[in-house]
Amino acid sequence: MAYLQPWMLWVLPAVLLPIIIHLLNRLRYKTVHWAAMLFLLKANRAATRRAKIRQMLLLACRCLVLLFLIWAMARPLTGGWIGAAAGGAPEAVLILLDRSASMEAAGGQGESKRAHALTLLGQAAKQNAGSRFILLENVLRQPLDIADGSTLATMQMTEATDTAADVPAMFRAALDYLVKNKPGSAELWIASDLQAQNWRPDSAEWQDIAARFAGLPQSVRVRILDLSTPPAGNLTIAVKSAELRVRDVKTGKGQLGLAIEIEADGERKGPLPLLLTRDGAKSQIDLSPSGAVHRQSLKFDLPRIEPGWGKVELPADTNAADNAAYFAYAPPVPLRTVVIGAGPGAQRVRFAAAPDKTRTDRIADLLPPERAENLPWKETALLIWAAPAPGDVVTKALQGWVESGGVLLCLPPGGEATGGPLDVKWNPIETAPKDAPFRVTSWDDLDGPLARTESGNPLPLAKLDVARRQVPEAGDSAHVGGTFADGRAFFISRSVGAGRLFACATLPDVEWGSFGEGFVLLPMVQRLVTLGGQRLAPPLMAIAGEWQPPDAQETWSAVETDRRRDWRWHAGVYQNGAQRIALNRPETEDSPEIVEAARLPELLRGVRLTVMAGALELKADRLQSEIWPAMVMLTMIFMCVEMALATSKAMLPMKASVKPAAPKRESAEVAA
Amino acid sequence: MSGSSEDLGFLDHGAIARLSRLMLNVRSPMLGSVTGQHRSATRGASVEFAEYRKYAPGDDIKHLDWRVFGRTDKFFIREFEADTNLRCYVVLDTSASMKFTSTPEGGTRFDYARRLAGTLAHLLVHQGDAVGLTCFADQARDLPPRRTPSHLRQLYQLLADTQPAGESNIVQTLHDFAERIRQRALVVIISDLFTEVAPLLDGLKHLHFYKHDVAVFHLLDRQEYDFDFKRPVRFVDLETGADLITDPAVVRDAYGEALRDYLAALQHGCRQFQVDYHFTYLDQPFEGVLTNFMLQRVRAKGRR
Repeated sequence: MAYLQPWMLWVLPAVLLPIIIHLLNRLRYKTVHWAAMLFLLKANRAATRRAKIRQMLLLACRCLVLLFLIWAMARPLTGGWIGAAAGGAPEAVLILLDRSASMEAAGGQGESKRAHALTLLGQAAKQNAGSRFILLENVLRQPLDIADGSTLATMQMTEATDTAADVPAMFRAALDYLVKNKPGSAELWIASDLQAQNWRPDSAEWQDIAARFAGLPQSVRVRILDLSTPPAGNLTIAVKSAELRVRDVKTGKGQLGLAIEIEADGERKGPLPLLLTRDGAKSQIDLSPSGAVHRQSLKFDLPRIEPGWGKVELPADTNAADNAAYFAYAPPVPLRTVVIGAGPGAQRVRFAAAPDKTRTDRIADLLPPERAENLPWKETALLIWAAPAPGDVVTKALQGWVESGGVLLCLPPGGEATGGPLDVKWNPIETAPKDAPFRVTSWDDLDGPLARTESGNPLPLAKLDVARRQVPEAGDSAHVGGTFADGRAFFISRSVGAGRLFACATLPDVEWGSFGEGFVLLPMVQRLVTLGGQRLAPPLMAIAGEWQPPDAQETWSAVETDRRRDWRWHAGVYQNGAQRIALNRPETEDSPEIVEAARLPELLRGVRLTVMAGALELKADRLQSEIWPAMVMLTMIFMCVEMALATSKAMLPMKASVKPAAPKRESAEVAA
Repeated sequence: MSGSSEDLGFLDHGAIARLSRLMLNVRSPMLGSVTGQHRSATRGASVEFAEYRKYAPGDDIKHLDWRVFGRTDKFFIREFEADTNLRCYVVLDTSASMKFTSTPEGGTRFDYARRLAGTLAHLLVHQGDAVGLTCFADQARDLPPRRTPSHLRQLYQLLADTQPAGESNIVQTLHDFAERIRQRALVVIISDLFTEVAPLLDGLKHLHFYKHDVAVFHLLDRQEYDFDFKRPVRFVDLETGADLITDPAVVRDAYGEALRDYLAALQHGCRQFQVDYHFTYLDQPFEGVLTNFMLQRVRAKGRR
């Protein structure tokens, strides 16, 4: 027998209270000198039998009342026939509804998987009318009490969304609810399409979840409504980027570059009409996609460079939620790079930061170290430091700037100096033999400034001939982004507050090798400029369900008013004053991979699990249920018995035939 | 009334004065030594006609009713009631159980008994009857009946000097008493009668056999009847000192039953042996009890 409030069992010794009180009462007697001992002794002899039994029964009843009361308060759980007799439907049913974008795919009987799931859940809820229903959906993951299971289909909290579902997190939220609210018996009904990206079956979280299930005092049944039928003939569209470029500075003409990706889950022939909406104006473009994944860049000339928004739509297919993608664009913010240093190396770095003089979106300045205090801190996106450590004043300003989100790239100062800004330590200069330059052999090509290009090609770091190097000391907190063949660090990075600090072991100077030729330097610096620019320009596109307004007080309303939209879970373009953001469903929702239903018991090891594909079949063996109502009944019965014993004369040793002789008292008083 | 007034505090002279208007009668003929106010078992010389009976040789012919002889030619003797005096024995229980009281300010059972005994003695002496006193506990102390006021003072002194102590031996006392007093008398027993019913009734039967007019004042405290204790109590026997710790709630009903059984048997036996039984609570005014006692006897005389 398990208990929901096991600490109440510590109160159990209180059961002995009536006996203790009885004994105490016996101890504090008073002494009376008595004449009628004759009757008292007779009475005592008579009372030793039935009255003493009655007294003991009374005491036992009082103890039992306390026992059952405390037991009921400890909320015991029991299974088997007692539990089946005491409890019917589970006390609480937690409905974990996956209403991610992928649940909008058609899933039988002409409706979406989500709508189908709601119908089935509503039917099942009718069968378990005695239970409490709690809805936990994937966006807010807040338990919500539902008065009536049949209202599920019409609730706002069950509408379609364009979000992803974090199923492990939903399980955790459900477990939190169970631990906090302690329902006597509970079931979890999960309606999901088992999308692998949502379930993350390889995540270590599942072990934790299974362990938490095992740790619950009440046993909980999990019923999974498997809606994983793969959609057929579905197309998805996504906008990878929307970029507004300046085409002509003088006339102010611009060009919108739109990279779209269309994915089909089967072979598809023929042209595909694409409906493009830009600033509310609609136009149609015919595409002829080839293959399963079709990428295309669309370019539109714009008469003026000004912010705008739009969406691209595919014709209706089996999933209505992945047929539209939204974008917003804005004129590029000029990103300023400041290079502190002197000499040809610094010049080359400056050139790498702003290679095209006709474009206004990249500005690079070169400042000698002694004028570093004149830095335009606020407009600077990237600061490149190719000089020895600055003075205290500059160091302090630099520290503040990086901590507020600035990006700093440190290059070797050259010469004898070994100190850099913000505690960067440089080793002495090493020079490689002419015929054997230093080589960079390994680097982080997944993330960071040395990552692969968008097309998947690695940066040609292996081709770098480094003739001279000055290796930065990688502290404990630094991440080594690239190493030479001898294991020394080529590139390190470190977080400083909200900003980042990078250091590279060579200079873009002819004497230092081929770094200055630009094939690595240019993409690296450009990426750092973009990284630093994020601080200066707010994002224009984000993922629905993940994006949060920078300020919770702001009100973001949808630009399109064709239907009700909520930035918390609907894709669309939203604006707050002049600011716009385009929210799209997460890419993961387009992934067709699912978790095999056979794998679910493995994920939820030790959990009573039922996976059902059709309807929610509820006929299964009973769960453990609470038996406190029975305990309270017993308490009341024993209270009644106690009352009856305490008041009735039935148990007394009295002969009904003997009528007590009434003393002749009235006549005496009359005469007096 | 002489004697120190502190000693005789048990006498209520006002009550005695009020009760003096009544006369204490006996229910059956007595055999007195002198002429008195009570009916005698023998025929005598009072003015009250009793009966005719046939002449027998030796009868005094002055009692012949000549008118009857004239009419019927037969000899009949006229007989008249004799009036005699009364001898009363007050049998007072002085055992330790008489010390009991539930209200100390109201006086003990013995105080009540002493007041009854003293008042009765005074009334009887003042109506010309003889009063004796027997105080018994484990042993009896006797004062033989006399009708003189000086004897009354002796009796008061004995009452004042006696303190309740020792165990009650009422059954033996009654038997001894019945054997010793062969002349008919009024026997007033004042006691709590806490003894087994059957031997007690034997004693009363013994008295009844010798044609004594027996009256019993059964003194009981209200608490002894109601047994209204709440908390556990250690009861100590006043006579033997034995003690018993018990929860009154447990024994109350059995106690009540035992007491009522006892009272029922006692009252039944008293009716059987024509004992004038008076159940008396200690909180009843003794004057009312005595008035009731005396008035009942007046009625008994009227019925004749």
